[in-house]
Amino acid sequence: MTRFIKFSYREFSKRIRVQIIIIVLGIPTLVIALFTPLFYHFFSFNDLALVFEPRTLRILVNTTIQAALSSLIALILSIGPVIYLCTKKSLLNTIIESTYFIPFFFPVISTVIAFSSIMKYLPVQFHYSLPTVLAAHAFYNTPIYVMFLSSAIRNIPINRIESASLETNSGISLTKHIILPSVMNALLRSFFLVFLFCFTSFGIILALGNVSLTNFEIAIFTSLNTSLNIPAGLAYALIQLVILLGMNLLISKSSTQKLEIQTYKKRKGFIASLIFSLLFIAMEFSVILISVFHSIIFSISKRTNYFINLFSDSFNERFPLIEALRNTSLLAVLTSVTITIITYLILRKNSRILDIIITSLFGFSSAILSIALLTFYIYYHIPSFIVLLFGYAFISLPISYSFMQAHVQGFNATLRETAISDGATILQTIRYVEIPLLMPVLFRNFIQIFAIIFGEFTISYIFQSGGDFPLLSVVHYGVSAQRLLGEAYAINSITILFITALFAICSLMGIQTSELPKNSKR
Amino acid sequence: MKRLMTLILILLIFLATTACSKNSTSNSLTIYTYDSFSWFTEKMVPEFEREHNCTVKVILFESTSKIITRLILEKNNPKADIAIGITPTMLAQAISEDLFEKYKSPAVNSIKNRSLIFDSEFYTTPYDYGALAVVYNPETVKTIPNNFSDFLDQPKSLIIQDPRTSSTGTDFLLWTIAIYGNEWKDFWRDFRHTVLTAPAGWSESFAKFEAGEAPMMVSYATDTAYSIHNYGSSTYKTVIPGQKAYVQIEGVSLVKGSQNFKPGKAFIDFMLSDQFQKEIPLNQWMFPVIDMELPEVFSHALVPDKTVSIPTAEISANLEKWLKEWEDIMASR
Repeated sequence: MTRFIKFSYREFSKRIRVQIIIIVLGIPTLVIALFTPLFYHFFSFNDLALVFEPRTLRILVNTTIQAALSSLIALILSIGPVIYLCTKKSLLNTIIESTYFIPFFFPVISTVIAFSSIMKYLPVQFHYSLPTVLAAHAFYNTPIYVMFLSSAIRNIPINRIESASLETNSGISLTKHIILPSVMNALLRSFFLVFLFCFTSFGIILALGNVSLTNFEIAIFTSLNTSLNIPAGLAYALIQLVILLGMNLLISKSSTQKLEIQTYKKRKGFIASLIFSLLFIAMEFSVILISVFHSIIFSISKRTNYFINLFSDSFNERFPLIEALRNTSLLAVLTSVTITIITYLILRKNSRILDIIITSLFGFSSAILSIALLTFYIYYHIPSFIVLLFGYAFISLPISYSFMQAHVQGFNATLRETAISDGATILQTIRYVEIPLLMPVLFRNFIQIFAIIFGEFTISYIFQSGGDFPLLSVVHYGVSAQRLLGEAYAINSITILFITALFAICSLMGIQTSELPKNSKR
Repeated sequence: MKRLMTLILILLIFLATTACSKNSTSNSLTIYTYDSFSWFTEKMVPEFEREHNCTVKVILFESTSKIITRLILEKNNPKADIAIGITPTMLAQAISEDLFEKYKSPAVNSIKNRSLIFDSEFYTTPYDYGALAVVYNPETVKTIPNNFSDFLDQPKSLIIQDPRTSSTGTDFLLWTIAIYGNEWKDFWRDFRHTVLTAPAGWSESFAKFEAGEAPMMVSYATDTAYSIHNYGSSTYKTVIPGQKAYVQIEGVSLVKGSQNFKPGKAFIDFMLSDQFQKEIPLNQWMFPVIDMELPEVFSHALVPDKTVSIPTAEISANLEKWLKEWEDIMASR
């Protein structure tokens, strides 16, 4: 029996090694295969010299300034809600915490439409300018700081704060000597994450920005999609890759943030924190609710039911919404199922090499990936559906990896070993031991990846294969760009309500969906 | 549970199959064009399909530059048969990339104004033309821009099209270069403050203008006629700053490597027929290239006394440089 078990373990380890080799070789092979047609037909090394042109430096400076300003503004806006969350316990806490899904799952186009509407009512012309982009980024990213920092502060042992309070009455001194050093790790990590989001922002800059706000992602898009300057696109993508990989390295050096809800201890709070928390909630929810209210107001004032219009034949002839809904839902379901399974199988291996390979995928520009997908689609006659599935899987693999890593790798190995020693096969161990225990994690990952793909814009927009495979975010953008406001708001309402309902259902089922990925991209 | 999973799997396979499935017929024609030309899919395509027993698939792109980009990507494996919306500016790049096939339609003889035939080798056949102009809302505009200098004291009040993506945008840039010559960059350094935004294409720009985001927009000299026709009054007025107009000519080309030359050529002939040309004024809001009686509302369209232009060879040699310089100026706001 002992010999049998030892043999099984040896066999098991051998299989694992073989699978690791397959994955380690497989991912780079797939990447090379994907980019081959693009580079083979359109790339020339000589043209790479344009990386030293002043334009590159200008884009780098613009992108960095915009990202740094956006990150700082979001940080400042988060201070009030963070203090409130750490000092009070009320309904407001739940409302603030309910915004945590926004940074990762709220559709970009919904944000763009809401901000365009808000800009119309402002007395000063801010449209298509840096303030609008900063405001939209602040809306997206402030909840990240709130989530990281409030959790970090709540993790500080209360006796440490109380003993420090005895020594000093100054709140500034307490913050400087106790709170700030304790949350520094979370602060840096969240800052880098927000900076990354703003650095790679695409939809917001495209729709709410202007030429002077061009960042690398937009520069790659314009180089590839309008002038087909592949070397320029590649040069920008390489610069972005180096910067993002460097940042990923910095983020991964900091310890993993635990987002367990601590027991609330009522402490002395500031009235200002309540005011700023209310402002924060107003900012977040006004953007969410503006579309819903707008669609209702529009329907009443224009005496037209835009919700019904959306599904009319005449509207769908111009904007194939029904087809786009079907395509997007199908792609989102298949991608999230496939990626959840693949991520789970990869994470079971617990390999450092895989960790590095998958984390490095974060550095890929979605814009250049989209053009590579388009070329792949053109050269190999592969249906759009399959190519898009591959592209979405490519971008969601590292995100899914981050979501599930701690849970799958933290799985009690004894249970697995016991099952194998009892004679279960690997398949049986997975099916009867691991999956039932990890089901909430897998289901949560499925929902999160589904929501990300459902609202994904960069790949969908750049890939848009001349309308032969319409996708929701592209149709939504098209309707909004044509200023069919009633219909645009109606689609917005449906999308927002759908995503919100999805997370509400998860919440009702007791599945926590607000856990942070180590990294992600919009 | 197992049954449910099986049912879901079957449903997904069915949906995937239907999503992947494509209609293909032997006698088919694939047309690439830009989104604001979409009117012809409803009005003209069915007639052509009926007359030629052919299935037409129209693929709309956000801007004309995307059509060229797509054709370059597909060069070794073309999926389109004809491309509609090719301007002289774009033709140079298309020829250098060897994207089009020559075809001289017999119907070209009916184009009386020979200056409209901008490509003597017939890689492209013209089908419409129109002068660029600025359309404005008289109720909200501060100063009517009778000259380009009149724009300068009206910050963030004009919507232009991005010249890197839109043919209208490129031609507007060329118009200013034709007017200001070597000083065009100095003009743009001041003029950039007038620009509110530069969307990728004309349709998106017009939607923003109609939504009231800015009181002026770069468009075409027929826009007053459009306003009278659609709104019953001249809600929007049109002006040609400096009275020297820049004329944009649009053409149709046969894609090299197409497997459907016969219906492709037939469609080019069809676009020059009276049947097609008479639809251009009230749908495309441009002038047809064939001499014909225009709708009455076209009496409100501005007809320029003088025009300016830049030789095609000069455009081909400098456009990339000009676009980079334009971007530098706009990015330094």
